[in-house]
Amino acid sequence: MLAGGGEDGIVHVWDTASLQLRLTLEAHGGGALSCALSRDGGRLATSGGDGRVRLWSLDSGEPIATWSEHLGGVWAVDISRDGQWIVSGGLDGTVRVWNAARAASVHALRPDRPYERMDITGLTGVTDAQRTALVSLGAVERTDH
Amino acid sequence: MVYGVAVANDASRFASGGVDGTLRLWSLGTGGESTILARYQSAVNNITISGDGRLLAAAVLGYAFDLWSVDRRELVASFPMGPRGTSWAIALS
Repeated sequence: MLAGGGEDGIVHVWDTASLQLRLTLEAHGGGALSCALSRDGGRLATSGGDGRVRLWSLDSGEPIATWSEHLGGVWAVDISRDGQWIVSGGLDGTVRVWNAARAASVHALRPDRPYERMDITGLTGVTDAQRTALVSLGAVERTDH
Repeated sequence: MVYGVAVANDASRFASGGVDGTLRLWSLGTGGESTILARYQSAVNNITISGDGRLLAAAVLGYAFDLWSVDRRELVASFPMGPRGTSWAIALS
């Protein structure tokens, strides 16, 4: 199988033996940035400018999973030979590990932020904007009160 | 500037492609011997090699996907997709 995608967000899949077009997948908004095929050609992982990572069955042409945890475009995706594990990375600086059977990421890896693990709790008297800034710096873990 | 590299699973060779439009096949054993498979008029945005090492695919600026035979060093098929912008993603099984 050959899979290819680009700026229009569509990923095409061809059979490399017959050279016939097999599937046309409307995969992503904001462009299809990366894709990867499992070794047996049965599964396709795609990632896009919409921040999504998607896993497709090439038998049905339907998505098996759509994951939306990345903030910003996802420029890199790869899949294990058996099609069970997917790893992605992108503009938000995180690398995320996904399993085909799970709805949320199994791991989210990122370099330490400036105030990583300060774990400030009981924060009061700050504006929402200040709280958001502290979350992005890693000083507090949660955005709720 | 190189946009894409791909290594064959048996570690015999790898391929590279980039902004100058050349698609190159390199031998890993002899340390740097290369063959130019193609000279495109536009950039090679991404490349990949199939699991069995026999096929190489290139995403070419202007939204085309080309399939090459590594052994025969010839173009197997070209899939020009028309005016859709830029092609980025490519994969082979």
